[in-house]
Amino acid sequence: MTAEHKESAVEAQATATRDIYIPSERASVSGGGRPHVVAKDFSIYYGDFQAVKKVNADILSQYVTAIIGPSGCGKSTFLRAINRMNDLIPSCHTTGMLQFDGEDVYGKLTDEVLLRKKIGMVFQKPNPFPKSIFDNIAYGPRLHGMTDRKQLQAIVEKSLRKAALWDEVSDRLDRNALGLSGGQQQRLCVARTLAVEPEILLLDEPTSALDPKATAKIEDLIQELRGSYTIMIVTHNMQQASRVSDYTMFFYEGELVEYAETAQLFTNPKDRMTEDYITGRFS
Amino acid sequence: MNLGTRKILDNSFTAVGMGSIVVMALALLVVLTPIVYNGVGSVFFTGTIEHRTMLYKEFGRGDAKAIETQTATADRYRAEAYRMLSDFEQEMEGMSLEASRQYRSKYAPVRAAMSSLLGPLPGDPVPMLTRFQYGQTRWEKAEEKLHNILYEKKWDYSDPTVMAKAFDVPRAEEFAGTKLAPLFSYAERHLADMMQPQFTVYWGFFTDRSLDAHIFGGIWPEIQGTFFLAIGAMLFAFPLGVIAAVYFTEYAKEGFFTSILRSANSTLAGVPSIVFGLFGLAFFINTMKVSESKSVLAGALTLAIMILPTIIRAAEEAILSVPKTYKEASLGLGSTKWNTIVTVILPAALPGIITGGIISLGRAAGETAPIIFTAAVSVGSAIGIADVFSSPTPALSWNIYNLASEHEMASEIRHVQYGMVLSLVSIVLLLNLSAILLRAKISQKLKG
Amino acid sequence: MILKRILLLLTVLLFAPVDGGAADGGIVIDGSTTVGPIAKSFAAYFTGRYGVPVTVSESGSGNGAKSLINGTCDIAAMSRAMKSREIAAGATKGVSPKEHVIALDGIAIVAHPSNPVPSITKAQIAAIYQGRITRWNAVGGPNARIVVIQRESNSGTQGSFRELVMGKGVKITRDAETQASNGAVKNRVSSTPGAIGFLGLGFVDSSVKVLGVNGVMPSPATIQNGSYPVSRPLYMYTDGEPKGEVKRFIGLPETVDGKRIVEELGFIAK
Ligand SMILES: Nc1ncnc2c1ncn2[C@@H]1O[C@H](COP(=O)(O)OP(=O)(O)O)[C@@H](O)[C@H]1O
Ligand SMILES: [Mg+2]
Repeated sequence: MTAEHKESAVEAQATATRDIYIPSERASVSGGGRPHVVAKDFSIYYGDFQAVKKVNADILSQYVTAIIGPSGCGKSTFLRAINRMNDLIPSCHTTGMLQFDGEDVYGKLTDEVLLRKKIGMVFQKPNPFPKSIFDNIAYGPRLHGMTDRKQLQAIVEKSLRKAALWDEVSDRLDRNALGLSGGQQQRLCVARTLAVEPEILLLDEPTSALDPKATAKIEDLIQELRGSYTIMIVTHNMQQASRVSDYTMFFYEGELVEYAETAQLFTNPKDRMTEDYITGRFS
Repeated sequence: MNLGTRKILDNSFTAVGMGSIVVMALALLVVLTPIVYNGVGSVFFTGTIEHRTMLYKEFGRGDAKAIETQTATADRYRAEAYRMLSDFEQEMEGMSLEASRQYRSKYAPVRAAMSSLLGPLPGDPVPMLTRFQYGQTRWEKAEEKLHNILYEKKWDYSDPTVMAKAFDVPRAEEFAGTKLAPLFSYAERHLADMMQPQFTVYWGFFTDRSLDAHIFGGIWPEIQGTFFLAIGAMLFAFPLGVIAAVYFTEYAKEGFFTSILRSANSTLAGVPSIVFGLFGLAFFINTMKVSESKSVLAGALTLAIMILPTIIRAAEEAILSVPKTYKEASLGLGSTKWNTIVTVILPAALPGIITGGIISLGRAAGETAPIIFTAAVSVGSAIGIADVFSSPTPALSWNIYNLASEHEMASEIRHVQYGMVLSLVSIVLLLNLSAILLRAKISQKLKG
Repeated sequence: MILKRILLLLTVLLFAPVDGGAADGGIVIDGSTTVGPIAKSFAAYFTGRYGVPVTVSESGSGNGAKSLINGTCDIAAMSRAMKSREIAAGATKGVSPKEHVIALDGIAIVAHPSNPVPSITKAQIAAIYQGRITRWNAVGGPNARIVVIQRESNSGTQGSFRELVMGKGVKITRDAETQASNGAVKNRVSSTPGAIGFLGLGFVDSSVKVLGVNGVMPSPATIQNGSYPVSRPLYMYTDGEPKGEVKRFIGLPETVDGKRIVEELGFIAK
């Protein structure tokens, strides 16, 4: 990403410009592109209320897929369904089919703990544990049986480097993570997720609580990780979606209205609703 | 509302708030001052030679040489008083029958008061009870007894239609002209010589066993019993309470059964403690037969049941106040629910859980009613850790009550009672203080 | 740091019994607060002399009986005889209470020291406790209200008092105030000018005035020869014939030392 990009990100946050942003051409990822997550007539309910309606979509591996749409349209609900985070809400249930690597996510025999290990998640508000930086990163590996201190140290360093945080915190790994700045905390959360070596990374508005500078860093990070992980990012910010993603899904009132390559969706939307939304006629 | 009234309202609220804080502080002061003042008096006081002799004979402590010389001096002065007594006794032999009878009935209280001040008089057999084997061990008590020697408290019953008034009659007048007459001024002049008062620091009050039902000695068995009971109750109630709280907050499905459990828990928290005492007797001792008689174990179990609701509630609050995001983060990393609870939720909730626990610990230490029928005895020696399953124990809360209301010599040993109260208050304060420190330390660690 | 040291000290202290630990098979006594002083002093004497630990609880005669019936004490100290109801309850649990008289005790009728009344009759006491006499001038005293003080229903002294003074089935006035121990009655009477109460003789001191009953003052002599009308034996009960250490303990009132202890405490040796 260039300095220009960063500047425009700052501007976007500050003035909420309504111009359509034309995304740049993006290189294809070698070895990627197989359907990693597949939704077939997939609906999600809170009690009687249908929050996500009969979604059909293939999410392609190794690419970045953005989910946009107005507040309350079901973006988070859909994202959290993929690693079964919605299990925490007792009233929440699903119909239709959702597959991960060809396996039924909501199948009777599916182990949601194993699933979550493979599908990591980063939340809107940075949520490091009230533990040391080291213990935060090592939490996952320890959980899955790693006890050797050397191995742990190696994986902590690797994860922090991947999350572009190593240089900033390498000298204070034993300090409490809550002492970090918001942006650092969010990258720590990414690193924590990477430490369990997931296949998919779900990001739910990861920058909405951050200042522009920290936002830029996270966006850079997503670019770094593109190609190694399948990434899905929910965002309110269309500029962000166009900057970081290869594909974009537009949700409206629980329905998947349009799903296309990002460049195409932003330059040449097929649906009136999509066009209205990206041109800022409603939000 | 205009600015003027708003300001007046604000100011008057501040004034009322400050006022109530001051009132509370004053009330606390009024309650605590006598406790501290009198309680400290059980350790720091002016002791007489009788106190030092008692300590030496009963506990084998003290400076034998110094005691010997002081006793010798005291005995020199006492001998003079004893001589006056025996002279008078001889004098009475020679009196007319009527006169001697009159004097004898007046003399008996003098003799009793002397023996109460100085211990057994020459010629008296050694009493069986330790309490009568020594004179007054505390100077202020000695002065009180001197007053009993010098004056007879009489009531004027001449008019049966009004309540009588008390008046003091100097005994020196009653025995004027006899060989006993000089005793009174002698005793007054030489009280200090006969008693050898000395500033005394009696740390043994906290570490000695009690002697002759708390009349002498210390309160160690009570202190130890209090710790045993409180800590024992904690050992049962804390893990159980935390597990129950985890169940309520993380596992229980909202429904009829859960709401029944919840309201049972709240109701239990409001049940008077004597009910727990009776329950403990009926259930743990008579039904379960956890021990043959009252025991620390039965008492600790009863106290545990009593504090359980408080611990559950505190732990529930603490767990619920842990941000949901911690749980999401942990589950998102592929952690199981149980693992999340143990490694993330409980550590984050720990300060709140511990606070609830230690407040309950203080309550367990202070409660009387639950242990009356299950663990507490008025007299018993300090027990070893191995005996907690079978032996009952004295405990501060119960023995304070016992000394205040049931002890046959309650008015003579108020200092012991105050010493126990101060010890109990200190223990509870200490526990609460350590709770605050521990909590601060853990919170600090969590905050980073 | 300091906290840790204090904790360490506490642990060391806690696990170190002063007396080298109570041996197993000690004697457990439960019951009357009136018999309490005797039980406690016997306990101290017995432990000192034979090295057998003795614990004493003072929870009232009724609770002492219950404890014996439930097998949770070796000796029930009681200031009244066991009721046939209690003996029957014992039988259903295989406990047969055996009675041992350990001392005699007078129940002293006490008033505030300022009260000029020197003596009253048994009938007058009964009338006062029934609420038929409510002012002191009815018994030759000043025109003041009588504050009637009784013991709780669990108390053996209460039981004896009702039996000896009131007679069977006669109710005590509902205005009577209840105190839970001899000490509490003494405190209340000594601080209330119009009060009347009753105490075991061993608890009497100069803070209260003892009233004569039918003109007789309670004293060892008048109680022993039976001229003081409100006196009763004090008991200890065991389950069947006592054996071993319990037998030795129950024998104490027969010994010279035991009798002297009883007398020094202000009770009357039998
Ligand atoms: N726990 C819940 N219980 C009931 N309804 C919910 C819950 N969470 C979200 N919803 C509803 O589901 C819809 C989608 O919510 P969400 O997925 O959070 O929207 P978005 O993330 O797109 O802003 C909204 O109408 C919201 O009110
Ligand atoms: Mg959302």
